[in-house]
Amino acid sequence: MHDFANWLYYSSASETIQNVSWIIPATQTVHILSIAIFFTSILMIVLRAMGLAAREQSLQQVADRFMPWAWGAALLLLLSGLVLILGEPTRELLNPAFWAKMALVLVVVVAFWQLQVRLPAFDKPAGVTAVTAPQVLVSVAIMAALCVVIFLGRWIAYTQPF
Amino acid sequence: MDLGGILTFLHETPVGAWVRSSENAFPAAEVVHVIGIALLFGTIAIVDLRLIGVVGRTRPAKAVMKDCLPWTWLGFAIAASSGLLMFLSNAELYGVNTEFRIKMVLLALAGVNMLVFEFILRRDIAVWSEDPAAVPMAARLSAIVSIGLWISVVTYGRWVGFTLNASPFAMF
Repeated sequence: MHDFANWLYYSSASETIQNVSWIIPATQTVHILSIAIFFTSILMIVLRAMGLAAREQSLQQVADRFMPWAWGAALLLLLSGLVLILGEPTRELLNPAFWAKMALVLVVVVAFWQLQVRLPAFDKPAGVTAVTAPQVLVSVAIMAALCVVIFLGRWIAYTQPF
Repeated sequence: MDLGGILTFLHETPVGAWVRSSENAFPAAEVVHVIGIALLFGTIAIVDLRLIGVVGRTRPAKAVMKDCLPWTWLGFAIAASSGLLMFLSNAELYGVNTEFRIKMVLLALAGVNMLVFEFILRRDIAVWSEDPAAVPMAARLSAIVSIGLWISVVTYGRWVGFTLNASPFAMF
């Protein structure tokens, strides 16, 4: 991994990113705005699942409204994240906080994909707001996982590389 | 007291000194700040895009605002309090940083835009809440200005981190 990170560091694409001072802050800005879109899109679905928002719509309707935005934001997060890795490969790829974040991101993405696929089985029709304890637990766990991803992302700047 | 005196006073408050001396307080405040921004910008974008008529057209504007705005205010409270902690940790540097000053001006403009919407443009919302096509042009413009200002606030906020290194513990 050290060799790979070093090879990336001296690649022409990486050197361009390193030498153009606005690329990293601009990419981080896109990354943060994408986090906001992803975070609130999921929040709206979770709130509907708990009967706390858009009660006049079914859970499926709310998911159909917000999931494309969540996946779009996820794509932007991936692309901006790749630029950040390319610009600072040794800072990212040799960092325990980065790998912890990537592991949790993988769990979160698979979980959302599965939730989306299985949603019709536990859809809540318009007006139905009843909520079970496991649903509350899953909803809170989803939002907590996203907060931990944000935490690990910011902690990359404060963690010593391997 | 001049601006320099005020900044020194804020810099030397016990809270500022605590954030400065703690290894984890500043990065923790940054994490909380990002979560606050996510709530604030994400929910305000949902409302603004409904007003502009881009998405969420199947729901009344009033219902969208009722669902989103409490979270917008929570996000603002989280972002403002964590931002204040970061500011106090190095008020003397932040106070003279151009990007930080621009961010504060943009924040103030976003506040004025919000007040105009809240107290003038929203008064007859009952008339145009249901029909996305009926949203007055002034309300649409206010929503466009709102999104533009908040994107600029986040952009300048990130630029602050690259124009002054306020945390002695950050490696980048």
